[in-house]
Amino acid sequence: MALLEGLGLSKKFGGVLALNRVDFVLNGGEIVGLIGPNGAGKTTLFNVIAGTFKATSGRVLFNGSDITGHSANRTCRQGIARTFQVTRPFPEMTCVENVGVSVINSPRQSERHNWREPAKAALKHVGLHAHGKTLAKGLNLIEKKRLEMARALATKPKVLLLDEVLGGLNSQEIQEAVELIQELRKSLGLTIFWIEHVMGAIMKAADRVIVLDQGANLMEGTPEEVVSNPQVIKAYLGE
Amino acid sequence: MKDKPFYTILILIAGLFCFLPLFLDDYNLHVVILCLFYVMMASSWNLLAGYTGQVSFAHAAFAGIGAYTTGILSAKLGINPWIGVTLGILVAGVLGLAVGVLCLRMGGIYLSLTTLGFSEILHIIITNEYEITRGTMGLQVPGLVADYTKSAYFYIFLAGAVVTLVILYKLIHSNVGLNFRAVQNDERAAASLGVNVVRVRVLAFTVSSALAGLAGGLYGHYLLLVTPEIPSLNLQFLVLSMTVIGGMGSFVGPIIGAFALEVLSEYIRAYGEYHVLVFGLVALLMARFFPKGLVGIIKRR
Repeated sequence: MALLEGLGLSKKFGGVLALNRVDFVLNGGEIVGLIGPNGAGKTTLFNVIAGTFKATSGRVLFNGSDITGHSANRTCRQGIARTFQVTRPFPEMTCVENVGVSVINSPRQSERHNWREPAKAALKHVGLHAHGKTLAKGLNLIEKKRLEMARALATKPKVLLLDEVLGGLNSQEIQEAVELIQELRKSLGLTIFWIEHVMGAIMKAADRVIVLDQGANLMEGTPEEVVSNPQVIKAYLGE
Repeated sequence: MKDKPFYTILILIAGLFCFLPLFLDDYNLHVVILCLFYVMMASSWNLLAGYTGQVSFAHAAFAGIGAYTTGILSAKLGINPWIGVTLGILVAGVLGLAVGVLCLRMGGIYLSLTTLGFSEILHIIITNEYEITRGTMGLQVPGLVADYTKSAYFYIFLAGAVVTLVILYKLIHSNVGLNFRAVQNDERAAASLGVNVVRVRVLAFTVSSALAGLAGGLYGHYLLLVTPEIPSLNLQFLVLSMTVIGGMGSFVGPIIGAFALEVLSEYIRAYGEYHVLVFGLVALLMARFFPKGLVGIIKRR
């Protein structure tokens, strides 16, 4: 059943058409990869879904209701959490406080007044429990990415939008991160929409892959179908 | 649990302060009263600038709104000054809400310029509406107590400062305070985690302005004269210097800054206008070498 759906989404920046009538469907419990060459509009699509940008035209449906044009905080409260490609921690706050912000603003968190416990639990989930009192600016890149995940999880989302969470990690860390993402789907029943350039991870974890090119749908299918498709290879490598 | 040391320290210090009128003469008591007024002003401005990153130049203007509201009501209409002060808080809060909404989409320098404009407009209106405000002559207002003594006002200002600090502390250490800091750290990330950035910023503006209204109202009834010197940029920049020198974004920073600068200014009063120059230099040096203010220096030791 369709949980999150995009219908003919377009986004114009001045004269540039960053998204050109993009359609997509996420079914409950799926992991769907979103790939495409640089500038294909992947992050723009996330920004439009998450309410950071308003779509020029088209609609976003979540759980059957129209959420087009809802603000970022409202979208999050409804159950769509996202991470940023370039991590955006609150640098002058501790890790527990960073995650606490998600806890106190989530209508699905039961412990909003005693936010430290759920925040610590989320940090533990991503393996950051030892850093609870560290200021976020003191974390390294991998830890910042984990913190970003913990913050998204602590909003208790139904859909998670992951924007290149594996960039800059080595193969061992990629392995761990992929296992974490698979485990999250299983234990929390999450539906995951995942932009990634590390194809090995997408091949392993995604049920389906959607390919964008120059702001428009290019194709979609299983990971195997996608990587062997001549159009996709052409989009990535040129003629 | 975490609140306990704060309340213990606050009660202890306020308790010790209660004995001050026994030891200080009228002049020194006057200095302490001014210190307490500046504590109220600097701490409430810190909520805006230090905790939500909105550097407003209209804080003295809101103090002026509080002072003129109660001043006009009590001097012209004979309303009880205490009711006047309460209404002053309300009017300052409502106007703070309005300016906060106006500045919603603005950050950084644009917000500062808009609030600066608001402050100057208010100053011009007050100076020119002679019929109502008596312009630069100032409005003579009644006192808050039947027989005017410095020690009575000292206790009023002490209570005002304690109430202000408790409200600010409660707010900063509540869930709302966590949202304040999230918005200051990264507005977009905060929004993506469900923080209603608009509401957070407007709330900070409203509370901070209402507290400035309280400080201004009490101040007017203490001086017995409400003049355009209250909603002035002089007062605004003094409060700003106190907060920056004391330590912006820390709770005790503005308190330390208020006492340090007011006492310092009494000592260098003899040099006349040069004391402004000294303040400027001190603020400059602090910003260059100790951006976290006096609190930062103490913490580093």
